[in-house]
Amino acid sequence: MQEGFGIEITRHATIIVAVVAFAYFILITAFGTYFSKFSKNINDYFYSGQRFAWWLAAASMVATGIGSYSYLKYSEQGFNTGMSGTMPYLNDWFIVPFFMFGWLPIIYFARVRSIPEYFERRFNRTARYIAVAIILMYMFFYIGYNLFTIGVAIEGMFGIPQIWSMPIIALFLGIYVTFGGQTAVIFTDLFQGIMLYLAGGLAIVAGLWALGGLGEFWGWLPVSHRLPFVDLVKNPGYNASGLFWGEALAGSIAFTFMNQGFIMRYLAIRSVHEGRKAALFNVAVTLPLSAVIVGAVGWIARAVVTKQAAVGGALAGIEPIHIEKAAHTFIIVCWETLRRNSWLFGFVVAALTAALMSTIDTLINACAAIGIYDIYKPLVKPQADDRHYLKAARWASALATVLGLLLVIWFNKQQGSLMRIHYKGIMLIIPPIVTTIFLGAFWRRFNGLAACVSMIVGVVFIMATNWLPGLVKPLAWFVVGNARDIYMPALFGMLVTAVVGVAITLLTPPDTHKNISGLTVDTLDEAMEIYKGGKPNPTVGKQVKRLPFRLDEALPFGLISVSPAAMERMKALEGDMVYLTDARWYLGGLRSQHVKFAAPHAGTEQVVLMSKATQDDAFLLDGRPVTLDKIF
Amino acid sequence: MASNGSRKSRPLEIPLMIVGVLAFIYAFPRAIIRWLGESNPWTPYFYLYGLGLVTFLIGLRIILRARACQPGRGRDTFWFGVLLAGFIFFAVLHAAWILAALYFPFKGGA
Repeated sequence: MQEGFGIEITRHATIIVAVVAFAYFILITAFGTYFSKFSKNINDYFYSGQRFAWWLAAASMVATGIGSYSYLKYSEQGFNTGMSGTMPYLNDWFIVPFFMFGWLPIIYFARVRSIPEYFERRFNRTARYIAVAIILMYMFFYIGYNLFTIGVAIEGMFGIPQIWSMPIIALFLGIYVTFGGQTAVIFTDLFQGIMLYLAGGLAIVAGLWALGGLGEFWGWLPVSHRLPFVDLVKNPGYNASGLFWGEALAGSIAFTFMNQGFIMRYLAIRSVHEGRKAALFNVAVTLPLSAVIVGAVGWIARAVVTKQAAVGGALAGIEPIHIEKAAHTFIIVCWETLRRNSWLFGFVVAALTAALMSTIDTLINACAAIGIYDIYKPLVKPQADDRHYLKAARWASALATVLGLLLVIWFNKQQGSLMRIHYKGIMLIIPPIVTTIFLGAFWRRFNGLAACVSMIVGVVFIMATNWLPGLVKPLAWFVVGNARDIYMPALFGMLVTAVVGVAITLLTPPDTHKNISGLTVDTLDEAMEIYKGGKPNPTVGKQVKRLPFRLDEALPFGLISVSPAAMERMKALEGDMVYLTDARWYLGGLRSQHVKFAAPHAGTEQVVLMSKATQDDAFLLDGRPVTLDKIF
Repeated sequence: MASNGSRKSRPLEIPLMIVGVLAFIYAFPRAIIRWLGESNPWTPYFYLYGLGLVTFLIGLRIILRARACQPGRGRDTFWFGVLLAGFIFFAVLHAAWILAALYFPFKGGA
């Protein structure tokens, strides 16, 4: 018997759970490695060549957004404070205008490869390397934390020491991320997102079943636990005021504007229009649904415990549930409401593992992208061929995995609640860079000197709040916040960075020597023109679906020719950019490419003409029809 | 904050806007606390959606003024509508949630 995680699990059951989880590892590694053939060059490896449909990127974001810690942390929060645990997931809409019409088109049209690269193009090289340091700190922090939490869970459930479990998990992860790149990450995350929802859904249904249905759940849930918001300032660890400033603003901006993993997903999508669809789906559907999936077990636990106390014993069909440590809520409730069924419980454990793998694979790929585009290529080997960089990218992925693994040792040495350390760490890292991104994108006058100085001053001041917590008191008073909470230093850091940045900008001359066309919100028309290489044609046409294609070597690489009728339907002109894809929608753009329209062909036949090189570049298969969608 | 060389500059506009926003951040939470009390379940709702609305409107103003969003061009009108609908969706969702929490009887007694 093992009791490390508050459950009694027999050796036989442990073996079954471990077999299910191990089989899952093998399956996902084989699945991810298959996609290595779709990475021909460094652009494919990291960005999949801006080719995927919105739904594929959006679905794969589900798994990226749910970490292995999410189930444990939000079930704990749900048990303690109820449905207000959904707040961090449901307060992102306020910044969506800035993203949909500002940051997304800026990075997409500028073909920015990483946030630090944006900093160099927008400001200067110094700003780039300050950003590299901050962003790598942020991402490695997340990698180490995810690995560590799953290590703790495995050790608690099966008694396997982290020194064994962590290298094995890292090995499986490292294999498919290293070989498959972003395409592997997107497809495995799609699969893992489905797994996460299935397993989370299974746990919720089992819990509701044990309670007697949805009506019983709501009836036995205390009113304080039903409310979507916590008290305004009462609890310094979790309050509505702090969540607005720290989560809805700083946290949401960091996640959508600065998280290299998410940025790379958006850059893998076939157009800005499709990117907006992914953003909409992410904020309006994925995040609310994820909030339920990761938190509902905690709410159910509270209703079960309340009902047990009222009826004076265990509920029908299950053993009594006792939660001594709220952090164990998810594991205990799943084990008991699934009626100690090892196979079903094994499936849930596999989902926990899926949550880990899908978050870390994105981060590893993102760290490798920064390693190649911001360190290796500009500083170590600027002039090399694509094959060399692809090889270096694979080494960078392997290195990022190993570094993340080493961070687990550091996490193991930390004292106190790791949930709090995690949040506190993130809140200390992100504010200066988030503010600088924001000012850089939305204020043209903001200059390089201001960006560098404000980031450094912001970091220094926010670190100072660790030793001088009184610094945030006046600000907390002003916004009616709690001076002792973990969010106010984030707001303080943002404010200091902004004030220093604005003051220096106004006191120094603008960067007139620098061409920043397309890198700020007010130059997006120019950005579109640069991206297309010609004047955009914004007229909205219709897709042309399921056309056969034929080879015509007279057409140059990257150009296609269609009939005048097809051009008219798409409202397209010669030279317009068009998305050419295999007509099978469910491939999500795996076989596709952006090309341009040549002059329409003379024939009336509905056929697409292209060269063999264009066909190969889009991975199109002989005899398979294609679909065309004009971009602009 | 976005600027466009082709538009008339209004030097007092941004400072006035900053003062207005700061005044709102200071006064609004105090007003709702005085009106409803600190522990009322609607207080954090109004706090979030009051300050959130200001953030949201600043965002809309910036993208419109910078001409990043040009209603009438391509699909911009549609996406602008989506932005407004999304805000209303979340505000209504949270309000309905609070009502369901407060007015559905709790079986565990008072």
